[in-house]
Amino acid sequence: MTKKIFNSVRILFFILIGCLNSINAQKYIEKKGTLIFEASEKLFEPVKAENKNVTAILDLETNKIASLALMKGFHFKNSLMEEHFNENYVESETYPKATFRGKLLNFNSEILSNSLRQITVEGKIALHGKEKEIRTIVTMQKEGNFITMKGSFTVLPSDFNIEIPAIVRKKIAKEIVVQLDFKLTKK
Amino acid sequence: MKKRTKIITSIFVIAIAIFGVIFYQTFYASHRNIATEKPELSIVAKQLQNGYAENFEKANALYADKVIEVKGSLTAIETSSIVLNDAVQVDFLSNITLDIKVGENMTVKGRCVGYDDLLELVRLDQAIILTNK
Repeated sequence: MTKKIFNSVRILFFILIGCLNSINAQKYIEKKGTLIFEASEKLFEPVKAENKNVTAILDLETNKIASLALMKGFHFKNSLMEEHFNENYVESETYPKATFRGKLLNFNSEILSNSLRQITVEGKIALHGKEKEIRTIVTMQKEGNFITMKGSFTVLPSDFNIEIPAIVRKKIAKEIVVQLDFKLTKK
Repeated sequence: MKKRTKIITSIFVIAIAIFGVIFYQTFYASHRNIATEKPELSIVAKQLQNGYAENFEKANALYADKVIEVKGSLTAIETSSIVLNDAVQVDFLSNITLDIKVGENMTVKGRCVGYDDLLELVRLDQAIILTNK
């Protein structure tokens, strides 16, 4: 009998903890984040694209961050370049998205304020069927219900098994610079 | 002789001009204009989301990069986008100026970009509102 009561108390306790957790769950979401990548070489036409509909979710309880960009959402100034990007380079029909899953290091939500703060992020980028570990520093700021996150990092086409044909190799930079700009809203 | 040189020169100039136009049209073709493209199919928001959630490859082949017409009821209004039935995120090129309210039924047209499995939303971009009744 006492065991039964003890068990039900235990269950109640876990339910309560669960409820408290969900109240405390601090998720910040962005649906219209910007991601720009550039692999331009001097004297040649800029190789640059922008995606303004990038998703990001930040969980302040676990310090985890996840982001997703649809490849077809990247827009180039030159439509032919956009076509080649989709068809020959990232093969967006087969691999429609790029994702990032990672964690903010040495972080807790209390350190965020109106002033800019540099935070190290570590995680994996997945695109074109390949994964790549990255570590970069982002600048974060909190204002009311918003957290902004800005930063940049570099990747190589070969990190993701993307081959650049010899004929255009001179026109595309070896290193691709990726810039991110998110404004996450409390949910 | 002089006449012949003139003819050859003009043929040469015309050939270069034609080549130039073809070159320009191939390498600097203008982007698709989604607003003027006819929708390839019409679908209900929830059905579009279910299609992606159940069989991603099949849905991707059916809808991705195509201009489609989507019907649904408005569940969220953001600065430059709306959400239909918590299933389809519709992004416009400019901010919303129309007077629309959550709960209204509407039909939009846009390019299906793909499926966002983080938020479980299908995404349309370069969209326009066709009817809001």
